[in-house]
Amino acid sequence: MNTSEAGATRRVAPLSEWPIQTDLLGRLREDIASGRVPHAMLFVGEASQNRRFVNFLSQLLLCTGEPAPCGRCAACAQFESGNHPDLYVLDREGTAVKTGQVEALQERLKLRAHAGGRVVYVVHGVDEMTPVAANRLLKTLEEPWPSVIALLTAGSVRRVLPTVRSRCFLFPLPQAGSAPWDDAMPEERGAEPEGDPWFASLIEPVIQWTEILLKGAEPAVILADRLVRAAEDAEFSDVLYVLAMWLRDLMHTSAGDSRHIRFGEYRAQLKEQSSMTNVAELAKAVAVVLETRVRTRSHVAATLNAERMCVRLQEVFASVYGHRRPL
Amino acid sequence: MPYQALYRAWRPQTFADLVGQPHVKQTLMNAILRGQVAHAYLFCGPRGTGKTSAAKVLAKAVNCTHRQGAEPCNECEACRSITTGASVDVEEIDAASNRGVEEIRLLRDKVQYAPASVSRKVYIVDEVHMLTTEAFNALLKTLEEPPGHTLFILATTEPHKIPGTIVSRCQRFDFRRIEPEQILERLRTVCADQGWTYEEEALWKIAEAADGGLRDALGLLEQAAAFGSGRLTAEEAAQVLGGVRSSALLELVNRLVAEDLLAVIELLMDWYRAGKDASRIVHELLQVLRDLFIVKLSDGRSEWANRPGYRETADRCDKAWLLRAIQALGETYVHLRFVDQPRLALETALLSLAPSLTGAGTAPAQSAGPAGGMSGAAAGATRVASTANAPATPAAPAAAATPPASVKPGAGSSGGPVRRPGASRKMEVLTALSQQASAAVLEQVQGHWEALLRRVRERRIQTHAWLINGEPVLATPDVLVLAFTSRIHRDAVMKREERGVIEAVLAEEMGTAMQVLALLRADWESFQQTLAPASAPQGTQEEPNATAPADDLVASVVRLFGADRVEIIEDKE
Repeated sequence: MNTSEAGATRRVAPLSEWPIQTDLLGRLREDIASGRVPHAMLFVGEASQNRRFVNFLSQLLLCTGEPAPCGRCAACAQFESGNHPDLYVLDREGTAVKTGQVEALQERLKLRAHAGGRVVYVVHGVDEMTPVAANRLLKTLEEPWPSVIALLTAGSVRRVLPTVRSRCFLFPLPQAGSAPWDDAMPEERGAEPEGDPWFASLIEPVIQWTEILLKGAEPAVILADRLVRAAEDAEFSDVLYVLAMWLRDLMHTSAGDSRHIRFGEYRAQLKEQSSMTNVAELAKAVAVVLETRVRTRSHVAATLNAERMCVRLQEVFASVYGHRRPL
Repeated sequence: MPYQALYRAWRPQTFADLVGQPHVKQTLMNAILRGQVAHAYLFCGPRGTGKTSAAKVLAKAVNCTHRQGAEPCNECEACRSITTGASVDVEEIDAASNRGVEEIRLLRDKVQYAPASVSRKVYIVDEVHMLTTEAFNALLKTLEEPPGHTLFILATTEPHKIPGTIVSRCQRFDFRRIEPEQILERLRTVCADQGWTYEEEALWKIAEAADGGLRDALGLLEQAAAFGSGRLTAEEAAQVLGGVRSSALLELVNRLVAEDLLAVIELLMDWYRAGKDASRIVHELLQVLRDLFIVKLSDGRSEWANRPGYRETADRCDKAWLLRAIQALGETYVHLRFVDQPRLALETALLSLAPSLTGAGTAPAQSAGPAGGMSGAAAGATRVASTANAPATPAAPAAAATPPASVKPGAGSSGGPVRRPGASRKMEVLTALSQQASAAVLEQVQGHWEALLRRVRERRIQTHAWLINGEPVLATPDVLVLAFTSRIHRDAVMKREERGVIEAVLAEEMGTAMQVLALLRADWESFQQTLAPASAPQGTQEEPNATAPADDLVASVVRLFGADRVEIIEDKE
């Protein structure tokens, strides 16, 4: 049997050279070095992070030199030029990986590896696959030929089909970027260039809007209208995302936290607005905004949704207004 | 032999190997022994419970040439070819990939031919819920009366997607989630076989996290087993499960109770930084809160009380708060599935749990302020619970000073491990109110009660239906206290819109705005008892109840934790 067949021990690049380091990955490294490569792995994290890591790992698994990935062997050269014959990557076509792609993969997996070593296949976004496509993977995942290795990625474990999840080793990947405690950006926004984040144009209108909200000077209907108009050339759900982030920053400021703030450059506004209310109310307000954001996905008229949110926010901030209760 | 994942290497090869599912094993083995194997079976149940494995064992058992009882020998030619998947007569069909009517037609054609090398052709149709409607229908006639030499085994995790016409043609077996104890036993066997040493707690953690799926459990075990270091610790298990150390969770609870929100944020951010999953954190936090609640109820006698930190933390929390936190986080856990900002959602849920922000169950908004500062003392008061023979207000500081060790059940004071949550806070509010109570106002309200009810009925008939069960028991110039026998009625009346209607009618009828406060009759009676020695009895004469009123909290606690975990010590008065 070929030496790169599963079961053989080999030298693997130290963890410090891996693009992402966690304790679990450290253990994975030892397992790979001792030849115990799990046949199915699921990486959960931000899309770009998943991609980066899976890319690295597939090169590592396909490399025939030492320490893997050596970057010098023929396999690495093929990999780097993007046409390794034993690597098969399923990426989203349109919204997600489609059934047809899984079918093609299954056809490919009937053949043995060109190089005689491992066959690695990658499926991106298993949490967004249609049920038909995901179910189709099940048998393929469970009992592949020896030396066939599946690398799956997902944004959220809880959206992965439980039967798929149960067949894989799970590896959560920490988030990249300056704020590891932040939630992942909306998926379609993830790949935008750094420097000028997509929400840059939204944050100032949102801050102004919050101020009007806190002052209680306007009735809910007009408030809602303002917010929808602030979103003229942006998705309403993106505006809500920014609003939730801003309220979160206010909440942190109100609790005395200055380290975990996203919009630190608006210090004055943070101070002023957070002094008008308190942590409890802000927490409730964030919950209202999050719920509204969930509703945007379920075909609710945007204006109606916004008005409902404003009414509820005003209820939350009732004590801020005191007797000057807006209509 | 190439490396295989544990869950594949340990796939059951005989019925005896199959963990759990005694009802399935017994029935199948009897059928084999009597030679009465049906022509079609449907195996359903959650992932990792042994459906496909049972199907394969059954396929071997009906074809084995040296069967031992009902078990396949796993050594004869037939058994071996089936195990390796090489047999031409035993086919495992992936219905999720071959879901169309065309594939089923092909299958139907093949069914007619006699088996080549074994006695019975077996078709294992896995993930059968993915077949299309047409494919199911094409299968119907074949499934109903197949040739005598065939056996169909359909396996699925989603039986509700299978048409009734298919289900009725099969013998259906429901596989159940495997009990953690049974998973634990299998994990021990595997560890022994692999030569791994382990901490018992680590295996427990894995068995619980597997949620009834043995495949999940073995996968987690393999991931957690540190090859080389040779010992599987609870810490490592927690790491693989993505969980948080219990000491850190307790720290979080402590900070929350102490209202150190900044520290709460810091802790949470640290976990996020370490890549912990929000829903996992909520899950573990719920577990810890539940354990704390048990420690509180058992008065330090449960197994959890001996774990480091539990006792101290439990002493700091108040029962009402614990229950509220469990409920709120439970809701968050469900909600997290739909939100795409789970971290933010968890953060807000946690921050709004600070005791002063949650507000007490029945106390009106005005009590939120002082209650926050009092929460530490209130918890102490609940613990020592000497409210039975002393007025409530002075009891709190005194109680806080009394060391908990001095509490002995039955030693004059009540000292019950199970007490109504937030009782002391309720008592404080009631004491404050009773000092301003005005018998004249109460009489006035009682006089107008019928008229009031009529007016409420005109406005909103539902409100009337709730309110009619109440009785005004105490009134100050601006607050009216109503007593209800049933918790449902009490809670309903305290809802915003119901209360709004009642207060509006009250204002019309009495001419002044009054706030309405509803409480349980049981609470009112126990309050009166505390009041009796201190001041003159209030209002109507209450018969001292020989038997304590049915305490619905106690009942629900017993329902939750089981009668054997809860000890009820009656207040002696």
